[in-house]
Formats: sequence, C-alpha cells, structure tokens
Amino acid sequence: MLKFLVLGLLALNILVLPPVRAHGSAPQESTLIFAGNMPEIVNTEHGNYGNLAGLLQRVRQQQNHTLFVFSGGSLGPSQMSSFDYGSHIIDILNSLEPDLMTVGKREFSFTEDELSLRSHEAAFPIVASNLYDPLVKTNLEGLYDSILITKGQKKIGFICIVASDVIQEYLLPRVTVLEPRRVIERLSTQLRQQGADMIVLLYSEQQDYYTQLLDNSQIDLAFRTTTISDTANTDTAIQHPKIFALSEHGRALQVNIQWPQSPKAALVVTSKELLLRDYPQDPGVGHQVRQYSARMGRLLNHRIGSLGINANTLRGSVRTEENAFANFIADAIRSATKTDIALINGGAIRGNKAYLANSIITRQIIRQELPFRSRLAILSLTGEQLSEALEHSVSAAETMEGRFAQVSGLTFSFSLSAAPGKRVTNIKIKDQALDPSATYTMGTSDYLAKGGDGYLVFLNAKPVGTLTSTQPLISDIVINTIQRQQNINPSLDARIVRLD
Amino acid sequence: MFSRFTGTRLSLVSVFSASLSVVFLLFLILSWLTFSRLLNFESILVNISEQALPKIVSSSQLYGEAARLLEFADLFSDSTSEVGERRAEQKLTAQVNVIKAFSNSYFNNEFFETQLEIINIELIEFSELIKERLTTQKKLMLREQQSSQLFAQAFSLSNGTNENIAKQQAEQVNWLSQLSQAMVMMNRALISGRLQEVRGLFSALEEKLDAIQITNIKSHNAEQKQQVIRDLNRLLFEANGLEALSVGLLRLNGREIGRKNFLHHLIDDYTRLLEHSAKEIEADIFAQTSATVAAVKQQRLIIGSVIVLTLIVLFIIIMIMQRRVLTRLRQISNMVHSKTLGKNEAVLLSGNDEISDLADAFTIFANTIEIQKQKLEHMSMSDGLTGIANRRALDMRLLHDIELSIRHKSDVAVLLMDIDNFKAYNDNYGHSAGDECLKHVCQVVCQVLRRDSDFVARYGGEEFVCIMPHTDINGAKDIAHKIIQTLTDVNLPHQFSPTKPYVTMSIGIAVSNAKQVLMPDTILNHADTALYAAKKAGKNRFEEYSAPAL
Repeated sequence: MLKFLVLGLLALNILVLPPVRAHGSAPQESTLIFAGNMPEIVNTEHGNYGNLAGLLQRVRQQQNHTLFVFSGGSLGPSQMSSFDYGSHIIDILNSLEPDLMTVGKREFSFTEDELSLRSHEAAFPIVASNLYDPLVKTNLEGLYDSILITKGQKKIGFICIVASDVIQEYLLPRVTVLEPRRVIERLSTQLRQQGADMIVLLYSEQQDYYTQLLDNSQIDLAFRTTTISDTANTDTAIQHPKIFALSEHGRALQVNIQWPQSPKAALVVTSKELLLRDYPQDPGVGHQVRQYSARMGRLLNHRIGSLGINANTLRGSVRTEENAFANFIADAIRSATKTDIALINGGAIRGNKAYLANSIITRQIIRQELPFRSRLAILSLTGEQLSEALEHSVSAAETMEGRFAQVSGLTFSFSLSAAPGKRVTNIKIKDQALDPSATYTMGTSDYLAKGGDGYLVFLNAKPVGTLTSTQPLISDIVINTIQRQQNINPSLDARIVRLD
Repeated sequence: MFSRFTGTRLSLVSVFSASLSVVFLLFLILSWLTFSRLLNFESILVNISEQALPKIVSSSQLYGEAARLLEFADLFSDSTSEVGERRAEQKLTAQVNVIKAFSNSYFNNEFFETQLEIINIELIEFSELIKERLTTQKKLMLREQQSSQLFAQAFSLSNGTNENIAKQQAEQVNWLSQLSQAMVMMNRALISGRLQEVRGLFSALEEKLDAIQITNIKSHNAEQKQQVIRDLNRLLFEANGLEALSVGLLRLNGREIGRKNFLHHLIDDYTRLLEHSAKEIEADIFAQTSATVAAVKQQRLIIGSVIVLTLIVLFIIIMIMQRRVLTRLRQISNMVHSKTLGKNEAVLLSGNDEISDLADAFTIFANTIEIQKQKLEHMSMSDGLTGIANRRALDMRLLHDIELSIRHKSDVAVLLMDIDNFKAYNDNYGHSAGDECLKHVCQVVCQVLRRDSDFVARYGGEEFVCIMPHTDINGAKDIAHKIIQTLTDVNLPHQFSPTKPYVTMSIGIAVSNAKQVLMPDTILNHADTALYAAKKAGKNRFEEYSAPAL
C-alpha cells in the first residue's frame, strides 16, 4: 500500500520550493536524470543501458542543461563483473557520459582498491563524501568528496553519503565511513562558497536529521539511491517532498528544476519516473552492450558438464535448509582444500534458480551462482568455535539472511523454536560427535574467514596457509570440479536436519 | 629289555620333505616379497624422478611463465607508439604460445586450455583497442596541430586599412580576446579528464565561435575571419573533430584501463588456478610418496614378520629334527653302546618311523644275541648228558654260596655222591644204558632237592655234588638219607652190583659253617673224604666228614 502511495507521489511530483540563491538573472531550467542500480547490462525485462542511453539522448536533445546522475549500485555483483570487477559498467557509463556517479554499497563488491582503479577508468567523477582512507589520509584515491557541476549559468553541488554498514557487509579492511552530518555540513558550506546554486544530497541509508538539513536549506534536494521496492520490507523511510527515490528497478527519474527568475521567486521542481524499456535503444550503446554480452558469452558460454537430477539454488532454500546444489559446492571446497569440513554461506549462492535434470551446466551458470569473487580459505578451529558458528548460521534463518551455512563433512540438526545459542544439536564430524576441544580444519571462503556475514567467530580461528594471494576462486574450483566429473548429481544426505 | 611307544606312523622322509618344503616355501615367499617390494619401490622412485618431480617443476615453471604474462600485458598497454605496441604484442603472443605448449603437455586440462584461449582472444582485442587508442591519439594530435595553426592564422589576421583606427583597435582587441578565450576553452577541454566537462567546454566553445562570427561580420577582412572560424568549427565539431576525438579518446582510455585491469584479473585468476593445480599435484605427489613410505614400512613389517616366522619355523624344524632324529639316534647309539658294554638297560624310544624301525630291529637283533649268549652260557655251565650244572658251574656256585654264607654267618652243606659199582653197570649194560642210568639218578637227586637255592652239578663220571645253603649237618644227612632211600625206592636194576641188585649211591657230606668256614676246595675235599669213608663202609650209605684224628 505504502509502495503505491509513494509511487503515486513520485510519478508526477511538482514541488514549489523556497528560493535558492541564484547567479545571473537569465531564466533557466535544468533537468536532472537520476538512475542507477543496474549491475546487469542485459536486462530485457526492465530495460538496460541501451534504453537508458536512448532516454538520455532524447532528454538531452530536448533540454539544454541536462545533468545525468548515476547513483551507482552497479559495479557488482554480476557475471561480467566477477571477471572485470565492474570495468564494463564504467566503459558503458563513459558512453552515457554521466555528470557524476555516486558510490553505493555494491561499488565495494571487489574491495576499495578496485573502486579506486575504476575511478581511473571513468571519464566522469565518482563521488563519495564520507569515506576516509588512512593510507592516503583523505578520501579513497580517485574519488571526489563532492562535485560542483556547472550547467549553463547554474552550479549544482553534489554530496554523496555512503552507508555505514558497507564496512561490515563488504568487509572493507582499510577504509572508514565518517559520520554523515558533519561531512554534509562541511561540504555544503564549501560548495556554497564555490557558488553552488543548489546542493543535492545522495544517500542510501536514511538519517533522521536529513529532513532537518533539507528544511534548513543546508541541502536543497535529496535522492535516496536504493529503490523503494528494495527497502519495502524494512522501510521506515521518512517521507519528505524534497526527497526523491526510484520506486523500483528499470526506471529513471527525471527531475526538472525551474530556476527562479528573481531572487525572491520560488524554485519549482517537478519529477516524473520514466520506464527505461519505453525508450529505444541507443545504437552505439546497444552495440557496446551486445559486444559485452558476446564477450561474456565467450567467457562463460562453455559447457562444463551436465546436471543428472533436478536441483535448485532458490533463495528460500539455500538460506534456510540443506540444499543439494550447495552440498555440491561445499563438497567441492572440502575436496579442494583437503580439510575435515567445509562451510559456505547460503548468501554466496545467488542464482535463485531451479534447474531441471539433464540441464547443461555452463561456466555462466556457475558464475551466476557464485558471482562474488570469493576465494578459498582454510581455517583451523575448535569444535566449540564451529558450534558457535553453526548457531550463528541458523540465527537468522527465518528472515532468510545469507549467513545460513551449507556444509560438507559434518552433519547437524537445528530447531528454530529453541532458545538462541541452543538451536543447533547433534553436530557430528565423520560420524563422531563434535568434540568441543578438538581442532578441525575447515575450508570456506575468504569472505567468511574474514568474519563476513557476521561470522566473527572465524576471526578467532587460525588461518591455515595463506589467505591472501594464492588461493583460487571458489567459482573456478566448482567449475573445475564439474568439468572433471562431467555429470553431477547433487543430492541431499540429511547433513542439515531441521527439527521443527 | 627295550620298549617303545607306538602311534600313527610318521615317516622321517615325510617329516624331512615337509620341513624342507616349508623352509623352501618360506624362502620363496621371502624372496618374492623382497623382490616384488623392491621392484615396486623402484617403480615408485622412477615415477617420482621421471614424472612427478618434472611435473612439479613444470607446473611451477608454468605458473611462473603465466605470471610473466602480466608483465608483458603491462608493457603492451604502456606502449606509446605503434612500433612499441607491435613488439609488445609479439612478445605477448610468444609468451601465450609458450604457456599453451607447457599447459598442453603437463596438465591436459580443458578448463586451462579454454582459459588460455580466452586470455589470448582478450589480448588480441586489447591489442586492437590499443591500436585504436593510438590512432585516435594520432588523429587528435593532428587536429590539435591543425587547430593551433588555425588559431595562429586567426591571430595574424589584421584589420587592414580601416580608417577608424579607434574602432579598428577595439575590434582587433575584441577579435583577439574572443579568440584567446576560445583557445583557452579548447585547451581546457583537451586536458580535461571528465566527459561532461569536455562536453560543456566544447559546447561553450561552439557558442563562443558562433558569437565571434556574428560580431565580426562587418570587418574588412571578415571573410577571412569567417573562413577561419568556419574552419575551426569544422575542425572542432565535425564527425571526426576535436570534440569527438577528445570524447572518444577519454572513452578509449577508460576502456583500455578497464581492459587492462580485466586482463590482469583474468591472468591472475588463471595463474592462481595454475598454482592451485601445481599445489594439488605437489600434494598428490607428496601424498603418494607418503603412502609409499607407509607401504614400504608395512612391507618392511611384513618381510620382517616373514623372516621371524621363517626363523621360528626353522627353529621348530631344527627342534623337531633334534628331537625326532638326533636325540633318538643318540639314544640308539647309547643303546648300542650300552649293549656293547654288556649292560641291559631299558631304552624308551617313541615314534613310528625309520628310527623306531631301526631301534626295533636293533632290539630284536640284540635280544637274539642275548638269547644265544644265554644259551651259550648255559651250555658252558651245564652238563651235556644230564642237563644239570657242570663242574665249572659248580665251582662258581660253590664259591658264591660259601661267600654268601660267610656274610650271613650261615651253614653250607655239600653232598658228594658217587654211583656205586657204576663201571660194572657200564660194562654190562652198555654205555647208553649207563648214560640213562646217570639221567635217572640225576632226576632222583633233583627230585629230592626241593628248594630253589639247592644246587646239583655233575662232578665228573658218575659223581654228583649237591650244594645246599642254610643247611646244617643234620639237614644234609636228612637229604642224603632221602636220596639213598629214594634210589632204593626207584629201584633201578643193577644185576651186576655186589652191593644191592639195584643202583645205589654213596654220599660224603661236608658242611661249612660260621665256626669253621671251608673254602670250595676244602669243603669238596672234606666231602670227598667222607665219600671215601662211605664207600669204604660198604657203599649205599652216607658219611659225614670227620676230621682225621691227629
């Protein structure tokens, strides 16, 4: 219901805002196109970069002073980005010529250094206002703290706030996220001093004081970079006439700003949501996308084996129960690491698909299933630590969080009705009851080994071998395993039993 | 006597054959085990030295070679001229071929082949991208030079012969100022790294150039100026103009960096996978070697056990031989030795085999000899006619009994008997009848002597001697009387005897006792003396010895 209300509000939003300081007296209108969250370049359902380019071309033809703000959230994860860490997105964006790109959480899919590398590929500024890299004692290399875009006579300043949970979510080892309020106040002042006619804030994580900042005119407009549909389940987002957001994927927001003709006149902001698929593909960008698709096909469309039986990687399965396909992956990890057990988070398996028996498995499928560039890691941990990890694994099974463990070499039962900390029972390794004081070796992903998905217990486990540079990608290990076996038959063997 | 336990027959030949077979079999097993394990060990060592180690070395080399791809890729992308790009490409292609050859010969892994093929295609495309960038760069430089020339030409355009100097100067200043601004804009656009800035600057530049055209239209060399501006406009904004080239170059630069990074990742992934495979091979080989070491240890244990078993079996066989053959042979030897010494010890010889057969044969043989010996002894100690002891036996017995009587302080009585008138018997009845008579008399005497300890011997001719231990003179007289009486009763006819018409006998009695011990010769002499007395007294009687009066 809320969704429809917001959609209704945003579909055609006409705002009359208090006057902003104007430079020059010529009557002007600026158009701002806001889009983002497009990690997949080929999306026939919602429209793709070709459609976005078509849209931009049309708007740019119609409006002289068009700003294109790309709200990020696109460098990963995707099949192609699992190869090039999002370079192809930057390349396509270079063709779309955004005025700026903001940094979303997904931009950190491949560590902060990769984002810095992407910024050097981008022929447009990438903005993140509240990051601090202790290595260079300032923002991440290549990123802008803020940007002042001049369109015609008008200067619009952009501040982009990165969500604080990105550190935990993407296990960023170095960078820190600064508290937004001070950053916004400082940058807003700076931008005003540089002659900004308007200051736009972009964010993904709601802060209560944003409305206050808007009301105080410290910022003039705000865009939430996550879509309403993405946050619908947990949405407590404050509604404010100056806060804009896309209702769902496959859309762009066109915001028209009518600059006041006199200092006392009001600024009029209107917005409408445009469906990307309604716009014809730009031939150049369409060609570029096709080239990338072909390249992706070349990289990924290799038959590596076949599936002997039905299997699935549905989100509801890999994150709540034993899953045959996940068993296969966990077994492959255990085999490659030659460890007692293997454990992988269900959230690492992203395909969300059902496969029929006799399906051909291509490299593409595995890259789709394992889009993160997680590498093998080996830990040596005690039975007690393992037990703690399994408790953590099932702790959010009801909300289908990615932490649910898929395992190999061990069996356990769990009951969600039991008290926290006592949900996991009957843990066995090689048919022997788990010995809390014994030490076991475990193959897993480097992500979990670094405490990802809340597996902080693994931070206390002892790494075996090197975690850093020598381990191959888990996806490559799985591909190699399938290629060796040719026909795989992932099966359930009651290694995880839910008791209630 | 000899005796033995008999059981199931167990031939020594079988025992020897079985023992030797077992020893031979154990030896065979031991030899086979040792030899086959040695062969196995040799093949493993050969495998390690000829295949595994080279494979480890090669996989490490391959990893190293693949890692070098990154260097070449960097060299490739950093090339600023076509020559440099071409040389880098050649090196890169050569390197890819080296890796391909390596990979094919050592891994034979489809995944690696595909990955390498992909890297190769990516490299080719990367090469094309670099070429495109270099071409664009060249074109851009050319356009920049052309635009500089045009600007220089524009700056040199004077206002000619305009009569209004002030106006002329003002126009000239304006012209130069506008041109300068346009040039600054163009230079800013050319050095900007941001597309939208470039676009904005070129857009502003376009407007600026339009403005220049309009304001200077009435100048005296307006035509030239307009031409320059038109040329500049074309140079800047046509399809392949400076703006398009600048934007294109920015995109190509970004794409090239992206591709380079991508290639880095691709090669990196490939090398890591190679490294992983190399490590797997290494681990496999180590596992194989460890397994071999474990197997060798086990085999060593097996061989050791077989050796111990062989030794135990050999020991047992030696013990059996010792027990069944040597000990028993020694027993037989002892038996023989004992026999040769004349001892008659009982020997226990168990078993049922050739040795027991030999022992049995020897026992039978020895027994035969013993019987024959006893027979001989008997023959040498007895009288051939009557079968009773002869004189030799008498001497031995008399000495023995006298010695015994001395120890026992008892009496020994000796009866010396002589058939009366035996010569007349022989002469009249013949010697054969005489011999018969002797036998009869002998029977009579033996009949009277009932005790086992009593002894009768033929003393010679028709004389007989009785030795009676533990018999005093009265006992002796009693026996003598019985003998004479029995002869009378028997009544062997002797028609030619002057004494009686039947055979009679005279007996001399002598006794040795504790008071007067008589040695054999003496007692026989005394008995002979008494006999003589009996003969003298009329025969068919007995007389005891009485010492002659001094």
